[in-house]
Amino acid sequence: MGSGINWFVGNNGQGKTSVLEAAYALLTSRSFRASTLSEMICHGHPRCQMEGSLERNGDKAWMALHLEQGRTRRRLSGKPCDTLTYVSQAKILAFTRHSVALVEGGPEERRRFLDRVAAHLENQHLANLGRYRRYKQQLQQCLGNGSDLALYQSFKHGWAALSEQLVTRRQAALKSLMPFVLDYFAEWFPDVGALTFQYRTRNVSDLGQYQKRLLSLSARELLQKRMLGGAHLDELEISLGGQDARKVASAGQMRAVAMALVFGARALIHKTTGIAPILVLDDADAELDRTRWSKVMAVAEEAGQTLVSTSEYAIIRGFERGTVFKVDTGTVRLERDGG
Amino acid sequence: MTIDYLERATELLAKMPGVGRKSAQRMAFRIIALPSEYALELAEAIRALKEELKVCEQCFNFSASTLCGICSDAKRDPRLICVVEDASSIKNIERSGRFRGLYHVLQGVLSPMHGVGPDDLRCRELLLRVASAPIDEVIFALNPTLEGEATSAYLGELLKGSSCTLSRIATGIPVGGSLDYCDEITMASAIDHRRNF
Repeated sequence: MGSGINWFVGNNGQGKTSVLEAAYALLTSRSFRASTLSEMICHGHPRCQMEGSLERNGDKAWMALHLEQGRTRRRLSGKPCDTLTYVSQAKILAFTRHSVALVEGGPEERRRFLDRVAAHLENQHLANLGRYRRYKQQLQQCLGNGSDLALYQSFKHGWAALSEQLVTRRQAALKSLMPFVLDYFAEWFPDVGALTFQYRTRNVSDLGQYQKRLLSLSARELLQKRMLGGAHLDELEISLGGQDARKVASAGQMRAVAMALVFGARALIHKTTGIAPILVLDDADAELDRTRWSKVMAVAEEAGQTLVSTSEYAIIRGFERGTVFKVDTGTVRLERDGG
Repeated sequence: MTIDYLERATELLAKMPGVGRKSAQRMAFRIIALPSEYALELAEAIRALKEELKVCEQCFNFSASTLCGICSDAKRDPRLICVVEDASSIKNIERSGRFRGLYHVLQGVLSPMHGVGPDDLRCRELLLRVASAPIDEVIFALNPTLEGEATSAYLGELLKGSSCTLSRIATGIPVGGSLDYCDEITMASAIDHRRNF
């Protein structure tokens, strides 16, 4: 692919989204539309595989993702690789028609987005998330078993410290992210209303007492058999014009907010790490007028590699640079080499 | 029939930790290739492991008699107890030559998601040991996994009322390691557990 914008043009149902999904899955080990990787395997086939070369700062890594029902194998430059090392190789973000879930979906969608941004800024966040999940499983098992307070607390001490680390990272990521998001949002959608973000911790109001507060909830949690606080229950609230965006925003406004979030994240990661994440834009031109679309693509063109799908050649005509691929019945053919 | 024997041996060997099917098959072929004496000696060693080896009544280390070599060694300091996850940790600590006390093998760590609770470990026996003899210090030398940490925290809480000192082995930068390649958790631990010159 070209190092700038890569257009994937084709009529509906020809496989444009599948190509972008494959590129995204190859680098992240996750699909942007399916909930599990095995859903990416073509119906009636036992397996599928994606392979590609990732180039960064002159270094090359050959990445390979092999999927079978219930089994995923990752290889890095020919060698088997653990998930954490594999997904730490590339920085990639996607805006697709599913991205609207960032606004209208449940809090887990926003937490996941914030975690992804925090992880791109610092790989350790990803490892901490893994440890946190394991702690949570242990604690939930304690709650299910009706364990005593002493056993429950023994896991809760380490978990509370880790939760505080995650929350601190998320809040720092959000604070750095907001100026970029608000700038893009104001430029592209000036008539939509004031956009604000607020990170809310569940059942903890004083962050100075975070761990102490979480530990103090233990007896109640054992009684109610459910966790009452922690990073996995926090919420990133998005408001539009002072009201909950989930309740008042139209579909177009939700897309606008999601788009500003993704582009804001790319700008922040680029500025902080010096690496512009690869950007995947699938069906991003829908519901955007030409002027706004041009503004959005001008930002996408500024730095890094972008993969864009579109069904209209007219969309491309304004862009003289960029590589063009024709996607027809699942086959990808180079049409214009943009370098 | 040959294939059945081979298949059976492969299946059994593949149950070992870190041994996949291919490695198990290679082992089985190697056993066939080696002299019969080797195979018989291996079989006898495995039988003895299961039938002859006992568990020390005091520390739960593996032993050929009721008390293991360490517990029955009069030169060891009985007022120091080092709590470990399993018997293999004892070998590593002994290799360092820095510990002259006794051990207590928990035979695992707490892990509710794997069905391991305090009653499945030698926790009660540790509390009894500390209560029934003059102990100066209990050192927790469990793996720094989250389950190991939780187990140390759990036992530490139960032993809080006793008169002995509770300590844990340090965690941090490995000797000969580089700070550049140190992850954040290890580095934080190294800073937390720093000591004066």
